[in-house]
Amino acid sequence: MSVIRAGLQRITNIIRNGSGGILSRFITNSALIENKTVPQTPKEVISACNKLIEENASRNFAIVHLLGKQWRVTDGDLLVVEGYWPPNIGDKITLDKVLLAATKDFSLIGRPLVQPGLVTVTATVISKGLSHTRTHFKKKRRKQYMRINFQRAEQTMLRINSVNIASKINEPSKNVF
Amino acid sequence: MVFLSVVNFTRSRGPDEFWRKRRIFRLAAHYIGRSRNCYSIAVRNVHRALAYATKARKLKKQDMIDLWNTRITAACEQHNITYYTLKEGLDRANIMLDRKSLSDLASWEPRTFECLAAVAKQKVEYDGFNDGTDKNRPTGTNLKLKDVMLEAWLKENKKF
Amino acid sequence: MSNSNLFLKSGFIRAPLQNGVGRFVPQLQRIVLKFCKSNGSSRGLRDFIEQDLVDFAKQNPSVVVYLKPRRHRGPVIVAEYLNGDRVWMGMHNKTHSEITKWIEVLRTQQGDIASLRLRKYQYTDYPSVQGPWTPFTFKDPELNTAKLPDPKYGANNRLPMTATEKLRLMFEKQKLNDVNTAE
Repeated sequence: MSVIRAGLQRITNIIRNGSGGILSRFITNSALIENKTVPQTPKEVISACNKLIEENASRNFAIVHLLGKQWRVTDGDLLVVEGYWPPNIGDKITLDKVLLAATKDFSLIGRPLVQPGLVTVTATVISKGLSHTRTHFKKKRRKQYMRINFQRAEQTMLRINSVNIASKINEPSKNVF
Repeated sequence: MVFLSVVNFTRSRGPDEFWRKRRIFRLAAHYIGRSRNCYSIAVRNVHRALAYATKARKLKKQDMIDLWNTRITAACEQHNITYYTLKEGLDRANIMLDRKSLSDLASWEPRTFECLAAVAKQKVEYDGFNDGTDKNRPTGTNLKLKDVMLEAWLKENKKF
Repeated sequence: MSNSNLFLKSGFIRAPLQNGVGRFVPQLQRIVLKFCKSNGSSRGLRDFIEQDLVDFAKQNPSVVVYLKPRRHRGPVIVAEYLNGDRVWMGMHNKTHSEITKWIEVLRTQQGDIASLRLRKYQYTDYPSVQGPWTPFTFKDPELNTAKLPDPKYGANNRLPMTATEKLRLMFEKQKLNDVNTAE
């Protein structure tokens, strides 16, 4: 099975949307070792993806929206976000706004977010402090105009604990919130 | 020792002069020559450096956006799609990935980017939006009339 | 271009000893409050010590709190972290509430983060899950054994539709329409 997997680099992509959007898929093969029938219909694609989710063969990554920016995140990542953010050190947090989640074999693209229960991204807040001093210096030459301002932003450091593609696709998720 | 002449033209500007100048010299420690050691020259250069740093913070953001655009365009070209079409397709399909994520995926996750390009292409086709820049539309040598006619018929009858 | 003479050193994000992956360890090791018992500049710090210090010590059992009453010296807080950083902060003429906020900052930091300019706001050990892009990612592996020049690989198949083809298409569509109208 692993040999076939190694030969078949098959990517299936499914677009998920809360309000039932268009289902489209794209499959690429490179260096097919065996003549395996590549799934064509949406049902086959979904079942293939569900099988892959169960096997959990490789590392997952997700693109998460946090504090107005998008971050590409895997297990064990460190992230520093700037600005006012309430969570305190030691808090365990789930990052819910997941735009895209993928593994080596398939990717789930959200329109714009993937289904809430499908992907869980957990993180721990490690440190909160003030950044280095940013000097805002304005000068107009020969006009005796010089202003200097100092700014320090609040920085929070996060450690991403895990990115899990939890449930199967097309199954209604259990009560998430 | 006997000093026969009074030293003229030297006066201390204040007790804090050393510390005031030290704030400038600390920032100028890595400059060359007199800019590192003489206050009047150091001050000018330090002010320029700070002003440049302030302006550059905005420019850096613009530079990064340009870099991301270049990378996304390059990745699109490999999949026979234009940056414009990709953006159009993703926007219409409600996929809100920004330039940073797209360029990240293009460089580090090529397969996912391939998927996104395909999605954009399909969506743009479904919508009938043809910007005329895709050079890989069917040419005479591999033109399959049947497929083309089927496409036209389906479009007219709006089967999808 | 060395880093040693720069005023503000730059570096990348680090967390000591994989903090947060398994257990989370608060990074503040000890905090030393030096104050004067009578001088006015230490008033805020003295108020903090009288009112909030015990609660602080109870809520943070991993932090060792030292008090050093020093006569005729200004109030100072020195925080030491598990990675060896020492942060000296003067509390001269600071109010009780300001000192509470600064102590909160010192407690939640993981070292002297103000002395380092972060070059990137993300750190990952695994930048690529699917394998990074190489010029050979989307090339046909048969190119390895192909004998170039090859008519298949050298074919020019990215031409736009020519006028002849467009005419053909229009003709066929017209035929279809005629057939439809005839029916």
